[in-house]
Amino acid sequence: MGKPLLNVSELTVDFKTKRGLLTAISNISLTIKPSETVCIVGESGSGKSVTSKAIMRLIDDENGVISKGSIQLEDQDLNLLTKRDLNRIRGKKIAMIFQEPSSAFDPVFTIGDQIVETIVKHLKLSKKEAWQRGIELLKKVGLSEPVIRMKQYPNELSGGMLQRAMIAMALSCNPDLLIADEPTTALDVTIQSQIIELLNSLKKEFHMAVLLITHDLGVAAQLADRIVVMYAGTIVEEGKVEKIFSQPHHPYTSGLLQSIPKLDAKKETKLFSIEGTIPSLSNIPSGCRFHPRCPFATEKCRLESPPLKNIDGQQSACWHTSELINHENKFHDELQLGRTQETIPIQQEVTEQEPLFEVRELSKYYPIKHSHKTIKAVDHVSLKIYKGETFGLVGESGSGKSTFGRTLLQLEKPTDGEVLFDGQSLAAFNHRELRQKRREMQVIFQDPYGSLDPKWTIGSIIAEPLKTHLKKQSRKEILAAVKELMVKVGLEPEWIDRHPHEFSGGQRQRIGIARAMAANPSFVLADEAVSALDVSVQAQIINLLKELQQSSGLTYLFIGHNLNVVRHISDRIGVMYLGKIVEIASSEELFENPLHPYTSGLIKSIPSIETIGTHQIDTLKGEIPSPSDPPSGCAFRTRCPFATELCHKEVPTLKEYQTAHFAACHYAEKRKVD
Amino acid sequence: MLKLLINRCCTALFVLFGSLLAVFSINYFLPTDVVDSLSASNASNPEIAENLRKELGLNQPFYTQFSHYIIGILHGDFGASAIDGEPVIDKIITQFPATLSLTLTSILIAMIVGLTLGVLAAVHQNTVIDYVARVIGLFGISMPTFWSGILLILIFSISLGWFPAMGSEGFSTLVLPSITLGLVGAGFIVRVVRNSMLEIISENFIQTLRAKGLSERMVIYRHALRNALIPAITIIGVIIGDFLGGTVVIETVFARKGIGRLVADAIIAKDLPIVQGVVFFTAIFYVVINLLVDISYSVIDPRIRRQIGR
Ligand SMILES: Nc1ncnc2c1ncn2[C@@H]1O[C@H](COP(=O)(O)OP(=O)(O)O)[C@@H](O)[C@H]1O
Ligand code: SF4
Ligand code: SF4
Ligand SMILES: [Mg+2]
Repeated sequence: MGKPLLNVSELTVDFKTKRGLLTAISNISLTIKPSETVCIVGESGSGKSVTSKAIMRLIDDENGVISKGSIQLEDQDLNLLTKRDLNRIRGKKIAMIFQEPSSAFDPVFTIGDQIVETIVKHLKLSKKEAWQRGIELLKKVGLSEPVIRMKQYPNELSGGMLQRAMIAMALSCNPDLLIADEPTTALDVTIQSQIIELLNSLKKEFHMAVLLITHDLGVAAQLADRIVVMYAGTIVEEGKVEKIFSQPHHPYTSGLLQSIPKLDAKKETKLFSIEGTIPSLSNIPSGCRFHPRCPFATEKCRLESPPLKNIDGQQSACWHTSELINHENKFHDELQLGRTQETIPIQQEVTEQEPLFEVRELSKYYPIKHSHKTIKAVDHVSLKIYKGETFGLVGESGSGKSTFGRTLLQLEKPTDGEVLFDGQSLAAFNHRELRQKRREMQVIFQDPYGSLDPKWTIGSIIAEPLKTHLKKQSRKEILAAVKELMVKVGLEPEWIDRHPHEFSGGQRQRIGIARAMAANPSFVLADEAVSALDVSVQAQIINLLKELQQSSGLTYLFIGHNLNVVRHISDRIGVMYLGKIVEIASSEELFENPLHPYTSGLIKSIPSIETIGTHQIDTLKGEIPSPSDPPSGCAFRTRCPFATELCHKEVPTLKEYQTAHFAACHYAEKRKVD
Repeated sequence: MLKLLINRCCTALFVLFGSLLAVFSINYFLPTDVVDSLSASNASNPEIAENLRKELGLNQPFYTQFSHYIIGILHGDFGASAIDGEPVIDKIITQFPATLSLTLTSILIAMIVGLTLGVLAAVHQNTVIDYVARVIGLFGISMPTFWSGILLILIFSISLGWFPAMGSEGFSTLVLPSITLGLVGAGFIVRVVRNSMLEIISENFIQTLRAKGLSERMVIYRHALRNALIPAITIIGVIIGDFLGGTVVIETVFARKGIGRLVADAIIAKDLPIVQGVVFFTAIFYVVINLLVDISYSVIDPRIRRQIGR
């Protein structure tokens, strides 16, 4: 199969930090053949980005040094090139796109200027020719009105559009290799799916190799030919995508795969999770770096570091791989039997269906400056949340989920409508009574760090609601209660005097949960509470939330954009689009028999590891329109494949089409499956 | 753009009115007036002084005096010096060019030195270059101008004899005073530019630019600097205000002609019409400069341009 395009060998990168030299990646060797797509996966902090930046030698401009190894591109060692020669390769032979499209362009130049600049630098074209080429490229990446887009500034385009423009710029000089570092992570599933589709078609058209970096195995499954799994700065497994996903050889890979909530998994089964968290660079474990989290670790694993060994064309760095696979998939079974059999006893069917929240025609409009228009963030939403259930809320960003959550709890005053909590209207309460009630309703946010005061110890963070809400007085009582809560959410009680920055993302989310639980609430709003976490940690937190729900009889409103996760945790799910609820059903029903085209579109957009390489191409087109100027009639009609004249004129109302299955679409009846 | 202009003009009127009112009130409520300073030299008797006051309208109530003055200005009449009777406007017109050229060359020096050092310091963060640039900046900010002015005179005029120590004729007399004043501004600009450059360099888009294969020169001077200029320009408006105050000292130290000297002498002599006239003109100058700052802002930052366009 010919010579490799890129051959990275024994690459080691050190960072000069205040605490001395830290080795971020060690002995990374990988090859990429022409037109091949290789995907590096692993939890955040495993060294994926450092590897990609080292290949581009972007590490030079940070505090890093390549202390060992070579980066062979065809017959040149990039590590030995001068800056000048390197700049002839960057953007020409290897192009790169990044995670945050909104900050990846220079804000003071137009998109066109920035694309032209690249083309003029590498291809001997005049500015005018380059501009023309820019327009064609923008057309190619699916941007509407490319002539106008060229003249626009980055802040005038949405994230999805910017990422397309970024891809256009990367492709502008026909690179042999495209490095994409988490290109879809900051985007909605729908837009992510569009970008995956785009990359898939472009890599064929341009015959280029792709090095894709992602923490999302679903995305990897859609694009990769080969997978490289990284853990704590080393490669632990490498092989063909089908093999890795069907028969992982390394316990870490296997753990990652199992942490993903599956479509057919039973609700009551606990999600599999890898215990613990990825080690910090200053504290790398001896021997096999994975041993503190590995269920199969032996004495040898603790002492000696396993080399990558090839078995059936699949490389794995584990002392026990061969035993584990020879035992007729014992390895798999053991993982499955040993750990995931645990279930969380599902609550008795919520039979009496007593609502905790009853929302009637709730609206929240925001005025737009210098305009008579308003942004209808939440527009006449009515629904009930029953006691003891988890109500999931999904929809693209900008659909109004978080605003709904905040207005529900009266953290913001609704423009219109009413919220009944336990039968009483929240609007009728005065300030003091509302504060009392609010104790019963707690919130967990996406970014636990932003919501935890960095100067406080976690003991005082957790104790605060105890003092204000429960009026606990004696220090001893409080201390005992805090420690009990810490144990309950899986934090070591000894950590009570530490500060938030000493904890990992998952642990900080546990602190946030402990603080919420301290007020002894009956309702918890979890707004994107696990979205920022890695799969393995995400699974830990979801399990924790489920356990707490069982032990304390909690009701949840779970807002999320990862449909699989929401599905796994929710009893019922509401789908929101442009401020309106377009569908509500039990989570099984919703996924099996979606009645609204938006819901089906969302479901199809989920990158699944069960469908390797078969990327759905009939996903949602276009982007969510601005809520200040929603389309007439059915707000979804601009993106709906079934839209008719009727949809143009008439707003569909939310109607019950099957028992407890509501949808707002003129043609929902047709889609019903009995 | 029109909206911005109207907005600025309203602010300008407000600033002008406010500063006039302030100067007027201070003078009015001070226990001594111009007649006292005149009589000190003339050794005349209190009766004459009283007549003089009446003639100059100094014994009228505050609002009458003030409104007369404002009405005068609206007719283009800034009054005459209380000391020698020469029209204020003539005095200002003869003195202003010297101050204007001093301020402008100082700003030019401040920008060239400040931007260069600021960028160099940021690009070579934590190296000798950075330290030297920061020390120069610190000197600029913290050294009093009369002190640094005298130092420069001692070195470049008295010892080396390169430039004249005083006077206002010709370009060579401009060199030392504008370096003295320019260094102050450079000090502020170095700080702001260094900080904003450091911030910009760590932004994501800089990585994109490097990954495109742009040379480091392009990355820094075409992209990063343009972003960093935005906060730098903001403080230029502030610095000019500083400079106008600074000319009082500089023009005295270097024995130059100029508005600063004019107003300093007028204050000592309690020559109110002159003080007011100078305040009025400097305020206009200040407002115009800040308008220019706003306009150059929107030229550099498209985000602001589009906002203003709306
Ligand atoms: N400039 C830097 N200085 C010090 N440490 C760094 C630097 N950049 C990255 N690291 C560290 O290197 C490790 C790997 O980071 P990264 O490659 O970003 O992981 P990933 O992309 O897999 O999430 C992390 O522990 C991170 O903190
Ligand atoms: S070497 Fe040992 S600790 Fe490491 S992955 Fe294999 S079994 Fe687990
Ligand atoms: S009402 Fe019409 S446009 Fe709206 S979802 Fe149904 S079919 Fe599509
Ligand atoms: Mg990364």
